[in-house]
Formats: sequence, structure tokens, C-alpha cells
Amino acid sequence: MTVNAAAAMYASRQTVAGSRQTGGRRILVDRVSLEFAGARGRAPVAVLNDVSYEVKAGSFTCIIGPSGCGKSTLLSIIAGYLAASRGQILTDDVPVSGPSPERLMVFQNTTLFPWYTAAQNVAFGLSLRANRKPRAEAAAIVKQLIGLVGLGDFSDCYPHELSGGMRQRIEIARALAVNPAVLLMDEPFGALDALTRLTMQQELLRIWTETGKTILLVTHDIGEAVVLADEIVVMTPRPASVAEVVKVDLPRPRSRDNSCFTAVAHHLATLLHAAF
Amino acid sequence: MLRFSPFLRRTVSPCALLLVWELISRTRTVDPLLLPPPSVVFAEIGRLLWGGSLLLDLWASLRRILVGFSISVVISVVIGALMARSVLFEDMLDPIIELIRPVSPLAIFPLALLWFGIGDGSKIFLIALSCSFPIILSTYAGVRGIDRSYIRVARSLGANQSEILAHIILKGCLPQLFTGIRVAWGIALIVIIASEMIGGVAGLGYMVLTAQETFRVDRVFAGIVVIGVLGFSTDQAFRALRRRLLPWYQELRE
Repeated sequence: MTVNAAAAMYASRQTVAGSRQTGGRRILVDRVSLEFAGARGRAPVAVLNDVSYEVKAGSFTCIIGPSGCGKSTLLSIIAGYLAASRGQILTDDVPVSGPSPERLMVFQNTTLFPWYTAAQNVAFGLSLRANRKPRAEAAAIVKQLIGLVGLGDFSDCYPHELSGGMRQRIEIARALAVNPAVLLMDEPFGALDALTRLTMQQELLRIWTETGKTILLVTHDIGEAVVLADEIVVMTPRPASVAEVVKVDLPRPRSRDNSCFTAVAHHLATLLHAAF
Repeated sequence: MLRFSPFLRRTVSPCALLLVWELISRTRTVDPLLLPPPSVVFAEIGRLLWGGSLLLDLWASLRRILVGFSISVVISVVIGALMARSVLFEDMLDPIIELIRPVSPLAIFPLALLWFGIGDGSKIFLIALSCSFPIILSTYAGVRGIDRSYIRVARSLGANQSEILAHIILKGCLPQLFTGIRVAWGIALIVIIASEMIGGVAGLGYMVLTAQETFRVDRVFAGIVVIGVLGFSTDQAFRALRRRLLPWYQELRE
């Protein structure tokens, strides 16, 4: 992509998303291995084995794999919570050395602060010295983000007054407030009922289109991966490595009962079963 | 009964108690010299309020509680939080606390009299000491009970240590701390009366004891009722304060 084309793309995203959200960054997972020390003289446990993959800037990538294979662990390494035994993570060629507001994790069980209202939770990041904004600007950002996730009427509710899906939306808004380049989502909709999950997938796609973030989402739901992703990374059982990267070239919004959709889903299911 | 308002349900039993008490005394089932009827007791409270020393005694007790309690809250919250965040502090302070905690404050009071005199000092010391245990323990439990994922999320959103302390740890331990503070306040009320009875020159405990020595049973009852009402109304105030400060925290039944 030429510099001009990149700038044009960036500009178009800026206008859609409002004035301040910046687009995503590229993540390079470079020959990452992870071993946990074995307990009491037992052999060390290999969790990740030589995982390499490139997440393109602004793309939507899903990671699927057998449960317990180390998908979430890989996400924790990218987030900077865990250090790899070998290999490294680069975001736009800068090595990751620890957690940063530029790579934010969204979990299955929401971690909204129960003592703050929805709006206060979203405002939390902006109140910190690391990314402080003038009060009026912060208030405008919070309002815009709560609107973006469709909960304008629930700003003053406490988390316990919101449903699971609403809490997940606020969680996403709170992460977006500090303007991260990358959203790391660890089975974010796993705790939601089936209907809410479908709605949230569409909502997430809309938010992704409007903000241009790089999204890396771990799921065990094949349908979810095919609906959402540009590329799907299929992992092998532990020690996990990349079994195959499946490109999904279907136009969005994707309908689940279309034959191309089923073909991709079927291919993924075969890969996963072969892996077991 | 459940179809009546909670207020009515909560008023009916104290009223019934007063009524039975009045009847027992008026019918001389029990000698009114030993059990004066509530009407006489309330009349005595009225007399003591306008012209008597009740307000002075009440203020003497309340002042000692407030000073001792406030000192205790400040010191105990710091100690409890340090113990919760640092294994070193916990290992060093825990044995000391567990050794002093079971000792009755009244056993320490003679010592306090020697150190701080018969005035306010000894009582303030005793209250600060006996309030500190529930507050230290509840702060410790509150801080330890904070979900680690909140701290992790705050850190990744960019919070530094002092911001995590202010926004996560202090906020998160408040419900537990509040419970500890209510327990401590109850202990303070018990300890102040007892210490004023053992060695005091003013206060509700002193008032009740001198009334007993002069066989003014109505005044003894007046003192007891005032102490009870003081405890009840301050606890209600704590509850109201908690509803205001912690709207996000709901007890199972309020």
C-alpha cells in the first residue's frame, strides 16, 4: 500500500469514527514459545511451540483451537501480561515488553468496576495521568463512546443494574476510551446467551468498522469466527502452534445459511477434528 | 404482618414492650422502686435534659468516643491496608494484634488510668485501642477481597500505583470497611460506658453509676434508655451514610 493510499484510508476512518480514534496497528507474533516450569522436578510443560503469525493493521482476526490449547495464553503474551520463553511480539516493529493502553484485553467475565457507573467506567482511563484529557474533552469522548455502543440511556447505571450484554458493551467502550490500537478479546461473548451473542457480534463488527481498530479475538465458536474474521488462525492442541490460517473472503454482513459460509465452517471443523 | 409497611412492623414491638413494662410496674407486679414505669423514666429524661446534667454527660461521652474512634479509624485503616498488601507487615503485626485482641479492654483500663489520668485521655486511649481490631481486620479482608482482575485492568488502562490505590483498592474495600466501622462504633459505646463507671468524673456511665449509688432507679433507667437511643440512632446514621456513599453496594436485605 502506498503512503497516500494509507493516508486516505486513515482519513476515511477518522471521519466515520469521530475526530480522535486512531486506526489499528500491525501485530507480529514472531516464533513465540512458552514453557511453564514443571512442578517438583517434573519436566517443563510446553504451552506454545514456535507460534508465528502476522495480524495486519486494522484487520479482524479470530483464533480458534481445541480448548486448553493455549489460545488465551497467547493473547496474554500479546497483551504483555505474560513473557514468552522464546520469541517476541512486535507491534508496528516495536517489541512488546509489558501491558500498555495501546493493547487492551476484553474478557469473557466483565471486569467493570462495580463502584463506578457505566459512564464513570468508560471515563476511568481518561482520568489517569497517563492519558489525561481536559474535562470537557473527556466528557465528550465518554458520551460519544457510550453512544457508539448504543447505551446512551444507561450512562448512570451501575454494572449490577445492567445485563450481561450491556456490561460487555461498556467494557468495550471503556477499552476504546484510551484509544488503543489493538483490542484483544478473550472469548468476550462466551458468557452471553445465544441471541445476545449474535447481536453482540454484529455490534462488534459495526464498532470495528467505525473505529478501524485491529481486533484479535479468541473463540471456540466456529460460526462466530466465520461471521467476524478476515482471517482465522487455527491452533493445534498443546503445545499449540499454528495449524492453518484460513482467509475468509466473504462480503459482510455474512449470512450463516449461505453455502460459502458453510464451506468455510466445515473446513474449520475438519481442521479442528483432525487436531484432536 | 408483612402487608404492613416496614416502618410499622419495626415500631410495633418496641411499643408493645413499653406497654407491658408500664403495666407490670403500674400494677405493682414488680416493685416500681426497682422497676419504675417508662412514663416515669421518660419524665426523668425530660427533667435531666432541661436543667439537669444529661446534655453535659452525653457530650462528655460522645466527645471521647468521637476522638478515640477517629484516631483509631485513621491508624487502623493504614495498618490493615499495609498488612493486606505486604506479607512482611502481616507476619510482623499479626501476632501482636492477635495477642492484644483477646484481652478485655477493661483489663487494660487500670494501666490507661495510670498513663493518661482519670480525665478524657484514658478513655480515648481505651476506645482507640478497642476500635482498632475490627477496623484493622475488616480493612485487611476488604483489601484482600478485591478481585485481582480489577487491578490488572486498571494497570493496563494506564493507572500507576497511587491511582490503583485511590480508584481500586480504597473504593473496593469500602463495603467491608464500613461493616468494620459499624462494629467498632458498637464496641466504642460499650467501652466508654464501662470505663466511665470504673473511673470517671463525667459521662453517661458515670451518671448511671452515681444514680445507682443514690438509689435513683428512674435515673439509672433514663441513662440506659439514652445510651440505647444513642446507639440505635448512630447506627441508623451509619446505614444512611452507607446508602449515600456506596449506592453500588447492596446488602441482601436493607
